Amino acid sequence: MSISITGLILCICMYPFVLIMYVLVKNEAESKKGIYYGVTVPKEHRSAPEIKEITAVYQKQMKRSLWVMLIFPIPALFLPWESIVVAVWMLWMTISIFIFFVPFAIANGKLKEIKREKEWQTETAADVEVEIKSAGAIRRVKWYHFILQCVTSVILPVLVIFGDFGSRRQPLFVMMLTFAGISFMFWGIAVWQDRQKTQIISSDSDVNVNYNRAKKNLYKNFWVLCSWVNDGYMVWLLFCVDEWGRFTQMFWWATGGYLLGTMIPLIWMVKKKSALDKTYETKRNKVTSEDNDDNWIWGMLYYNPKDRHSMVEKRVGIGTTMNMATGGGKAMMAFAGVTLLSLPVISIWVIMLEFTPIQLVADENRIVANHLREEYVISMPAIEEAELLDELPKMSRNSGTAMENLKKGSWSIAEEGNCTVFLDPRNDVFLRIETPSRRYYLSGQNDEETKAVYDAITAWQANVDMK
Amino acid sequence: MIITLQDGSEVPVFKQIRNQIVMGISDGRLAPGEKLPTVRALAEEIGINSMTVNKAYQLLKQEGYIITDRRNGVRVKENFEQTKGLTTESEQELARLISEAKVKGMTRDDFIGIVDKYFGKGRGKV
Repeated sequence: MSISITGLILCICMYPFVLIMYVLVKNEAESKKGIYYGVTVPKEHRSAPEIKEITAVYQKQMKRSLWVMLIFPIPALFLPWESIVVAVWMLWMTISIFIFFVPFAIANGKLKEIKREKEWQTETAADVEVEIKSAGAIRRVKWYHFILQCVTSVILPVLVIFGDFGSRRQPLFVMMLTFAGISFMFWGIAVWQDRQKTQIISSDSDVNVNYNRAKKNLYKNFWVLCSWVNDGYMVWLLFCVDEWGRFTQMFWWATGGYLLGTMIPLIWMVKKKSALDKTYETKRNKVTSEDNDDNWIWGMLYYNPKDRHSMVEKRVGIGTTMNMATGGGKAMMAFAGVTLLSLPVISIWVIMLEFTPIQLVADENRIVANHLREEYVISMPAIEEAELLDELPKMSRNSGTAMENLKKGSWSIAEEGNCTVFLDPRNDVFLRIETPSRRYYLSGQNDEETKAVYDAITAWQANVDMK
Repeated sequence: MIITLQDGSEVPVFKQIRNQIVMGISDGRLAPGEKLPTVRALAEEIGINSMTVNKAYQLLKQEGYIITDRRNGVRVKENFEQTKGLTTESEQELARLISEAKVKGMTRDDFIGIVDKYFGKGRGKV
């Protein structure tokens, strides 16, 4: 029994994720601003034994979930099938996103029930409070905070189009365009967040204005930092593709640097926000003003059709959340649903890729490569040269599939450039075909199939020569 | 100044906004000449249609509590007309409140006590 390398890499990359999720949700459950498990609890009831009981059960469930998630993927390390290993980790990832929210939702439901039974509802329930002194007045995001980063992010793809980048142009341009879009997205989110309703923490308007100004300034600085990191990454990418159009090792360093580069502003922002909340803790006297627990599904998802705000301050934790009753909220939910659904779909697709054998056949005057669908068709008259190889040259993938039993897509070979590959690397015989437009490296399911296709090509060419 | 709007109230939202602003002026939370948010900004902040806020502002303007102009936006009036009386509508509202208090067994002194409490706040004389 040996450990699968893919499994090991996935384990190293994904294992910290479950720990981060655990800490994150556990942190959300800590009572803040008089809110326990997403339920507003009036001051006089905060030390009630019922809450302590719920907390004890919650902590036990959280620990149990963590252990289950830590043990669950270990057998997958010893599975020989790559696609199954990937599927297990995808499933694990999907469950990890939700599992820790289950104890939170249970605790939320229980506490809501107790609150109803014991009549802890505050008198101001269902009231909407608005600070009119600062309505529309606290805006920290100005166009000049983002314009430079956005202009740079537009210039870089243009530079790639007109610059001397050879075969690097296409992959670089796609990357640049994607990250230019991210720059604009950061600007958009910053503006959206800046237009949030003023959070009321005190009956003193000046306190509310100062707190919200400081908070919005912090969010603005965070997004400005992120957009600079994004620009830095784009510039770095220019040096990460070699003359064959392949991403070099520098690319991975750059990507690692980018992830770290965005994590640093995030940690900085979280720390600053905690410090800000601490500073205003003594001035906070409006903790239970908006007692609208029923608008918070499981204490996490905000659904209020009467509120036209699409983005609201999170009840617990740092940042904002969407109002699911608005168009924007629904679109966001649909996007999240599609993204999550794509994980099992991808898993099934990968399993099908691994377990469906490739097929290479020659019919009348063409060669057809089949795998799940008709992948490539090469017309016999277009073949300039065909050669049987007993060894494959060293190649690296540009795009496509790389599995133990399957290589297909666009690959790069030193001194030959980009090639189209469709083969099972475990075979002993491969077919190299030259056409005016492309170079192919092919094989059938087995060596007999490859040889049969080669024979068909030579027979066809002999026939043409005779004519 | 914080205004509180009740979701399930029978009083329409525009009236609630109007009442809260009048109370703010009365108890001094809104100073004479103080700038109020624009219709759009307030509507966005509350999360309601701007027509509702516009209706509240129109009413306040008509009653002489606020002034609007293109350059300075919406402001609380510096001086209020000293009519030394209530509008017919407000008097009817007061009559309704007194009736409610009587039905609930309040004495005249109890009622005057509440009147004193609110009359003593902010603007005006006791």
